[in-house]
Amino acid sequence: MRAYIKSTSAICAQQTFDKSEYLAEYIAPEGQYLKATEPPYRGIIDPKQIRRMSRIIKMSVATAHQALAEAEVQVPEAIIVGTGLGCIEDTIKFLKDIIEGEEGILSPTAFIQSTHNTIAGQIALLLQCPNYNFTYANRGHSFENSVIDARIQLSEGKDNILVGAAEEMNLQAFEIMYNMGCTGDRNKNDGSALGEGASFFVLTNEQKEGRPYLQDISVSNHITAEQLEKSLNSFLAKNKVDASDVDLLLMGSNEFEKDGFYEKIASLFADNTPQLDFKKICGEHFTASGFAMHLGTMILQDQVSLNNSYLAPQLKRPVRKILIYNHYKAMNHTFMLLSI
Amino acid sequence: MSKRVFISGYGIISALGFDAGQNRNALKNLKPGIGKPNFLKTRQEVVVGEVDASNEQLTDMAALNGASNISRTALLGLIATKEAIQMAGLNKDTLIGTGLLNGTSVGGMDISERAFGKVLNGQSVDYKASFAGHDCGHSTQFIVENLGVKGYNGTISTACSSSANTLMHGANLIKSSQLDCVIAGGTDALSMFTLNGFNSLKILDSEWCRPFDQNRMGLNLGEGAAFLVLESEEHLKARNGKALAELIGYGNANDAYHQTASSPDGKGAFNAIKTAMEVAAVKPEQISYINAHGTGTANNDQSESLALQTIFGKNMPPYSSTKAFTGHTLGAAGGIEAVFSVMAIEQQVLLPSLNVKQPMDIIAAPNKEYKSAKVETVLSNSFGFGGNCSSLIFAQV
Repeated sequence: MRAYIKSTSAICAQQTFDKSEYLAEYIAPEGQYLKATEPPYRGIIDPKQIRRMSRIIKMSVATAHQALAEAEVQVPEAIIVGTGLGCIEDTIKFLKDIIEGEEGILSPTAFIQSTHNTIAGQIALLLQCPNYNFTYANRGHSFENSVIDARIQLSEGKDNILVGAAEEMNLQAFEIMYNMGCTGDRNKNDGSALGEGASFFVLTNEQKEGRPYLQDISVSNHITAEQLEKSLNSFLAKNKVDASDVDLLLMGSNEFEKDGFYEKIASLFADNTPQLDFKKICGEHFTASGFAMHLGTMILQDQVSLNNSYLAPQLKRPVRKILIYNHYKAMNHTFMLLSI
Repeated sequence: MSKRVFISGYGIISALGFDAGQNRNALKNLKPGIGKPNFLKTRQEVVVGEVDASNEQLTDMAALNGASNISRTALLGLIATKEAIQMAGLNKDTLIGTGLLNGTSVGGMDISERAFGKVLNGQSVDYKASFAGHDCGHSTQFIVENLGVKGYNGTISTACSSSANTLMHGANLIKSSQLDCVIAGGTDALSMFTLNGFNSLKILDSEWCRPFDQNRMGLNLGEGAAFLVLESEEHLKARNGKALAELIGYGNANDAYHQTASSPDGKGAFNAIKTAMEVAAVKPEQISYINAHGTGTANNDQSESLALQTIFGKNMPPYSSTKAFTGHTLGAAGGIEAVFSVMAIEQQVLLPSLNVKQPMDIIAAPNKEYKSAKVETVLSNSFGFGGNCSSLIFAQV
């Protein structure tokens, strides 16, 4: 079933939130990971609240707000958020307080804001939204779980569903992940640097001329490159799409992990099929596929020009079908087909 | 969306015991599992519902030879899912197409919090072994890999309603024909992080908790895991499985009142229960027993009582909170109480509340005995931080 995308908004390392400047100029990252380029939050969030919110909450509230405003939706009929690590900043802060204070008297603020569903909960609170409210935290399929649930909710007749992906990084989390060997060299700009950000969408059943839609999504775990090929073929066949119909491949390629999966997928398409490695923009993180869906939607909707030298796919025009392929550490594989 | 969703097996591990039989006996004998922690290292003077086994013993129980540094969350989850599969009689081939949904609030925090202390103190740490299991999705992946479950999997983290939500989502996946069989539930281990978190909120009772008592002082934390096998009618018939109960209704709503506290009038709870009853197409007088969220905090029990009063009025069915037995097991609570709800149907009994000396003045006293009754339909509530309110309704088949 089609999930029509009324609107989308994202914050990532590059400028995507201010749509008048959408990916216009390359922002060279500072520091060791791809830190999000955050907008000024005043004017979007009540200044009294801004101070108390962690960055993942601010990024999520701002992008949710923009998506809802563009869709002209006041109160969504469901809020579903995917986040792999959740509110890691407040988690680390509270843990530090416990350890340094040797379990002494603690302020509960960081604990209160540390749970994964703080994001969806805060959005509901700000919107006074009493409806269905879910949070998925499933590694490289956190956003996928959310989208699959959103499709069920749409099929049950709910409309205007707010779906989002959110992740935040900070120095301490980065250092741990660096020591775990989870990140490549950000200077290489090969998609292996860790990133962060938020991407939100308003999904609807309502078809409209020129409105992009998620045609289908397919997920699998722990498969071989051969099984992946089969899985792609059946995914395309199920959707009556030929490889040559795909105008753009949005790939989660990450040079840090040479694993043959992305090469396999690329080999199944004609050489002149444009390919864009979206992690060069948003970095590697559990919910990077959420950003891919955002970028794909923007390309379909506005036929966004991607003239930047660091992106540079030669796009056939108009772009009508985009295939997203991503995998997280060869465990969680995802296909999403976006169409207009 | 008229497909029926049956429960064909369950597994449970909690402070009451390592399997379903031990848990049932503890309920029957009014024997709570709350006491001083033996395995959780903390300076806090508390009583908790701890699973009575070390990590090494749990590793053996899960038949993982010599594995180390695995979070209790993952271990408890694996033990409970194995029992559920065995009870349902799912074979290896069936597991390939089976899905798994896991609800957890802090995932592998019990391991990573210790390692993080070492990082802060400049001690050497094996980063991969210490932190690779931190995220919530790790326990899910660990469980599916060890079970050979190859179907769709998901992890829900909505604080204390996490595993109630996995059951709701599991039912949705079956009703929308995306899965025929799904193991759904949740797991959470005690951790220094959550213990100090609830302590900082000043909602821990240092003695045994007293849900629905006028003078209740707060909750006791617990740990555990429980998973239920959900199946479509066709799938169950095709493999000659036996239905133990049916999941007939579910509702999720957001209280949209406060990040941690429940609204005084229980608006979110009311909406969740109301939706669940609409989905189940049952009237208030058809509910035989309520397994309440009943944490024992002033705020929750007040809010939940008012929601129940609004729904049921004078026809208030017998209700109780089993948290005085198990402690509040957070992400696992919805699964554990779903298992208790199914047990109440199987055994045709009402489950007891404990430690109630003076009932609240706004609601009739909870049921305090393990006693026989006609139990056709059970409502189970789970409410959490972030305003998350979930209700499930189980029925006799």
